[in-house]
Amino acid sequence: MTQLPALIWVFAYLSLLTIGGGLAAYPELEYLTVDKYHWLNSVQLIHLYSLGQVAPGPNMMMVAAEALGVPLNMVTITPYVDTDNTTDSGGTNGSRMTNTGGRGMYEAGNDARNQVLKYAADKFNIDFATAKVDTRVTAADVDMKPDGTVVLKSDASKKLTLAQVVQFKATSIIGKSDYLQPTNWEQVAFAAHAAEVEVDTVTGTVKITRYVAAHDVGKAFNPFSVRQQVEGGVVMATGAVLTEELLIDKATGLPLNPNLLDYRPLSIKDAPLAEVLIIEKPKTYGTFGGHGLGEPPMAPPAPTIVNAVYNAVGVWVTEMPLTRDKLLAALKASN
Amino acid sequence: MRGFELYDATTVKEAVDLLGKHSGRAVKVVGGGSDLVGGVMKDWVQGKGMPLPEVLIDITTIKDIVGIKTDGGGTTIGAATTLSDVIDNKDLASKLPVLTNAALSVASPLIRNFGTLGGNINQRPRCWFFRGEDFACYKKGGDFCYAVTGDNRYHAIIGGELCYIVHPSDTATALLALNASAKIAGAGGERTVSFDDYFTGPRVDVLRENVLKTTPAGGATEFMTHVSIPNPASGSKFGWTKLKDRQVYDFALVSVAAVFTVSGGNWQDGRITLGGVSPVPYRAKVVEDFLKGKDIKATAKQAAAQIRTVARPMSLNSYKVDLAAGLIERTILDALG
Repeated sequence: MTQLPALIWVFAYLSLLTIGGGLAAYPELEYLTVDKYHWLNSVQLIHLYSLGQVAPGPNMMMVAAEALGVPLNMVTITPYVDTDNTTDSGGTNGSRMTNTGGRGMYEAGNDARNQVLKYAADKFNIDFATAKVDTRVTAADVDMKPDGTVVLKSDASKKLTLAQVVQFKATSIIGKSDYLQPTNWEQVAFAAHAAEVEVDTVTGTVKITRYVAAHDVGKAFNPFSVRQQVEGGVVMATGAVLTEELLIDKATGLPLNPNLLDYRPLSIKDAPLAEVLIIEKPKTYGTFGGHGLGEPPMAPPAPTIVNAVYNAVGVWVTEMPLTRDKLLAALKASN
Repeated sequence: MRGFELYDATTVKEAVDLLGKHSGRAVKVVGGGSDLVGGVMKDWVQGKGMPLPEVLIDITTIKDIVGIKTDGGGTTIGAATTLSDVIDNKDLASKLPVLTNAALSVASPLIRNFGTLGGNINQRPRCWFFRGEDFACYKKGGDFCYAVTGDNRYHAIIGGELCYIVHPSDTATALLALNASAKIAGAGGERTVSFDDYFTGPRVDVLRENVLKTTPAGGATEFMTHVSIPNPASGSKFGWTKLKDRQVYDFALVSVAAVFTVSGGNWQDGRITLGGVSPVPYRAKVVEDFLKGKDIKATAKQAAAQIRTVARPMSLNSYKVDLAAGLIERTILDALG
């Protein structure tokens, strides 16, 4: 707790510098957290930072920590990971990584923990034999504490550090799992979105004044990233609903708006900020009860917004995007 | 992007001399460069009649054409004044709010910090066929308008012929409503042209959008140095509306500027101009004439609908006629307060 004021000061200060995204303040972040306060090393920082950008990566670290029974800050990702050197476990499609890669990670974590307990028991037995004590233990008699200390359940004064266990084994303890995705891996996602809109019947402008998104995620591994994922999905989908459309010239087949000026993703002044409700109803099929949340936030906004527009002005636009020319035409036709 | 030579002029005369010196090449005057460099040159917008610039003369380094002066006679703004400086000027905000609001509706703060008033007025149109590298349209010296048979949802509804671009400038629309005039410098000396005559349609010369003279090599020989705005009649009402699909970094679908005087609720005199509807900033005389002497509140709707009598929409943009009529009415009534 003595570092709390320093933590608060560092991040308050960094927030002032964070203009143009977190990356803008990265050098200062590294100077403060690595060079000045030594909270972590530069490799850990860059992994944390880059993984923070690519969920569900951080979720995998959480799963590993949870399965091993150690705090998250004891888990790092091997440096120089390269997909050239790893096995192919398929894409992130189907919002399945938390439950497929995650389950593999969970089982590998369990395997590593079991090995730690087994080698620790062996070490205790050798120590007992050397001391000519008649006790013999098995892995079931050993426990690993959240700080990574391995203790004998019957006598907590008999303890080993994780490093001692690994040194005893003499080579690295590698947890392994070969988890095969079950055939019923596709599971229905549950969500409910609600929007309040203002429709300008002269200009056909649809303004979203309030947006609420509720998602049953089974278990929110990281509530902050759950919120971000939902907010981002709603913004992306709202762009697709209201403005985004790749236009092709019929005569030549050439794209007419191959740039972000004419293609029009929403700007910060247009994008709704979703109020996110996280529902945690554990799933029997999920790693720690979780349900994938990669894609689900993208699906509900279109019907939500179109329904809200219908509720406001009584006309349907059934083709995306819901542009003002279509809406004005529908309003005209209804009069 | 192709390489180019860049010269910083420090006086108007030096800039004119540089233009003369390079007159055999494609020489252009550059302000903030957000359209010429970041748009036209970056995207290779070129053709037989529109060579890519080889020489750029930067005029933002000329102190005489940066800044805003207000005196009894009116207001003069240097063409190289940034849009942000126009927006931040308190005299302008109180005397000519329609210009402040028009400048404020341009693009994004980053562009406005760099983009100049002259550059905004003289930027090239946004038509996606004109901007597309592979469409050899009239404006680039080709022999076709792809908008006639192609996707023309954003194109002209008034005054298009041969070419159907819409004028992209918000400030030009506001300045036309303010009866401004442009001061131009060139080899032949200086001249002043009213905004009524400054913009030219495709029938006059499809290769350009204004009266600034060019050379056969596609180079500039003249450039805008100042904009002069007479004092509006006392008690003038000002209105500005810009409809855009996205609230940051977007051009007008339809914009409306209104500057007028009122007597007892009746329209006395004034101007209503539209951006985004015609190859030039368009003065809606039909609407002004209809309103003359009439009660504004009672006739605004009917007057605004007069725009339909001059509109000739294309296959996909008749909705813009409805937008124009609706926004003219709204702008007039908003200005009336």
